Amino acid sequence: MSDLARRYKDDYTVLVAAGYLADGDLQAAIDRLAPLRVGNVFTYVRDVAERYISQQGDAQEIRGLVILSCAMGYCTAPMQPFLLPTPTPAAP
Amino acid sequence: MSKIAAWLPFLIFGLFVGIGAGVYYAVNIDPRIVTDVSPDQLSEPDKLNYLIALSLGYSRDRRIENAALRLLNLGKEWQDIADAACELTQSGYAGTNTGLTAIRAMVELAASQGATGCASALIPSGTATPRPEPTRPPPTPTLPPVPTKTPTLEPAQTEAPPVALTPTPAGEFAVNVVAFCDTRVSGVLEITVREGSGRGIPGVGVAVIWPEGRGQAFTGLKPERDPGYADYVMSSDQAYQLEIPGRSQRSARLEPLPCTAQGGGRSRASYRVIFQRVGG
Repeated sequence: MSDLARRYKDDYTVLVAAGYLADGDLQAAIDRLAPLRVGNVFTYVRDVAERYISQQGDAQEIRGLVILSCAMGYCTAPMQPFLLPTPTPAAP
Repeated sequence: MSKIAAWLPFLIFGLFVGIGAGVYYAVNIDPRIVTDVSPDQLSEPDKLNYLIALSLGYSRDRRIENAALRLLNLGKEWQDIADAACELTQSGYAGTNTGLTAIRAMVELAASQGATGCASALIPSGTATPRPEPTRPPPTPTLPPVPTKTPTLEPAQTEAPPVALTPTPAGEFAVNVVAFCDTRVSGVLEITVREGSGRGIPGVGVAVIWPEGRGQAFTGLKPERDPGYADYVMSSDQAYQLEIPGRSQRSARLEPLPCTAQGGGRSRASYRVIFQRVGG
């Protein structure tokens, strides 16, 4: 997995972030990223998220990356616009 | 001539030693590292990781074309996802909620393209919460309201109560979740907070938590249904957990996955979440 071309590493990271949104299991996300053998998985996710933001990538993918990065403790200023809540409560 | 013949064995020996040393160096000391590979060149365990990830990705974005492209890059087919889900189900992977979520995502993705395996029967897609719950509360509150000193709503009252007037319940609450699929109710959290006796408790704030935020649902706003009842409409792309802060455990993750109701109609999964006092 560590030998993947960068575009596929990025894609895999996007998928892991989507997985985190699905199961909310941060440790599982970290474990899934481990085969990439990046030096620091937390800053790695932050960097991918910020790169996607700067390259104006897919908004849904960015949102997943941002949420995972924030869950890992790296919630930077460029990420803030992607953290808006979406659910609405039922009418009484 | 005889001089060359005398050296020939040494030359051949040296040649083999050189070749052997070269092979050893290339294999053990400084092997060639393949970089920038595509997913189809990954090892099988890594391909499985990728399969799981792409299935989870599909469960979030519902973009089948993206999943298909990723599957193509991986050199796999839809049936491979169903087969992998089957193997994972038979391993210990299904022993956690996270594992179940992943397997369910794989089953769902494979089934969307007509591929099925043993996991499809064990963990059908769209059931949303296969996690077994050890205990079930009584099906409906049966006891009549009991006079109380605390300000609570009467069942016949139709106006929303001033929530601040109602005390937070003491004691611990067990949480129990039952998923259901109904075309009349799509993606709704039907929350009930009860006494141990089964009597509904109005005015309780139940935290509704999703990965990047949280909200609150107050019981008692629909007294015609139950004094301890509240509901919350789920966003289709979110998973939620519920808790009474400091008074209960968090529920399992609840997601409004597409489902088929008994009559065959399509809807999204809804959940009855019951907090029942077990102490205090």
